[in-house]
Amino acid sequence: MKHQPTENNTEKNRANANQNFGLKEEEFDEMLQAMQKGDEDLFEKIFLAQFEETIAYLMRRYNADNAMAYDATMDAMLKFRRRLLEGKITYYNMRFLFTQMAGQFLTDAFKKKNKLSEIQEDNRVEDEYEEIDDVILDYLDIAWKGLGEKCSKLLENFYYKKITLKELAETLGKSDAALRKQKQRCLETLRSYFLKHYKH
Amino acid sequence: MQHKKYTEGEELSADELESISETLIQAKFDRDKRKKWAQRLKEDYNIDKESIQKKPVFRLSKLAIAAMIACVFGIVTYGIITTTMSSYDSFVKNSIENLITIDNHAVVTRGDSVVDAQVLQAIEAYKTQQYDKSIERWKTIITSGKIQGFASYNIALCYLQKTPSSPEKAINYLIEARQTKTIQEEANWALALAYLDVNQKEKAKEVLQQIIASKSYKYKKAEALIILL
Repeated sequence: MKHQPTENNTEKNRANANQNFGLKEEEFDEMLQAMQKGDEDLFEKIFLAQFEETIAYLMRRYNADNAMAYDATMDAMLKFRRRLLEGKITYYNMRFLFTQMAGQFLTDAFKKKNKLSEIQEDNRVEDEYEEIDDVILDYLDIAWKGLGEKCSKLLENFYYKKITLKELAETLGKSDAALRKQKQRCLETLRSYFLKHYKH
Repeated sequence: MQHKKYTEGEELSADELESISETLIQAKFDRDKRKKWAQRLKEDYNIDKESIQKKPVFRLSKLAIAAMIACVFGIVTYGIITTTMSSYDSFVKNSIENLITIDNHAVVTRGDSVVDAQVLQAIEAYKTQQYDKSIERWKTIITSGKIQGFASYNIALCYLQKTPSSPEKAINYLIEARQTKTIQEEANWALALAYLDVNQKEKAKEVLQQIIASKSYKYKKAEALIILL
């Protein structure tokens, strides 16, 4: 049986929107533009709304418990956000990509769990699975509060919101080079504040 | 771990400071986001990490439940058969046309920029219906030893959707693709359709039955389709 490529664009568009959490391509572009300006409302609304569906999928497909499926979905949402901001995800089957990403986090969590029980049995300690401790992040929060507003905004915008130095420099009316130096100083200040609190 | 150098006050080069700081700052803000989203999930969607709230269940006799399931199944099947499928052929044809390639490079290439670029080219060629070009790109990706399952699946879809189609070639790639766990369910569904495309009904039935038994991807459609065989 032979078939021709579909002529029914409306049907195709509907299928595409379904693959992308109901977003049309232009709506996806709007969401991305808003995110790049620091407005993540639409992103959060869309992804939080299908959180439960993803958890249910993971529990069914991987026989995972609630907590593990929840964590994997949360990890996937954070990574998906970062990938979107980095421009590494385009409009195309986001639903599948997201569930695959969550599945990958869950598989990694299973592997880690199994590895840890092996380690406990062998009384061996491996650094491979060491993560950033909450205590370190607590002290980083304290150090962060000591930063001035300029530094904290600059570091957050550059490292977390993924706004380029060029864009930030334009907004602030500074040169790229000047902002790069400022960023370096801010990083040094942050570390010095961190060490001051962490070591005492 | 790299961040230990940061926390233990060791001397760091500018690059090291940049890289470790970035990791720590991301972890800090990710943690903040995680807390904020968890709160919203709890308040707005009634979703909690420890116990996903189940919807209230009405207690019904087994007979009533069985009758309801039979009714719903009958209605759904009838609806699917009469409204979405004018015939068995058109069902298969539409299902093949609605298959969609997987743009998974952000997940699986893990920062390999060469493969990443090839994947983007392959996807772009597919989107513009340049199926032969897309097939060529996916084959190159397969030879690199990366994402073989996904690449095989995507090649199979090109063979199914190009004009004239080559379902026999698609079948070989789908058999390969289903070896990869993360793509297995989608590959099974496409394989069943490909078998039907070449009128190998018994093989298609076998795959459809697997899909139905495991309640995996497209199992409702598989249930509707198998009735027609």
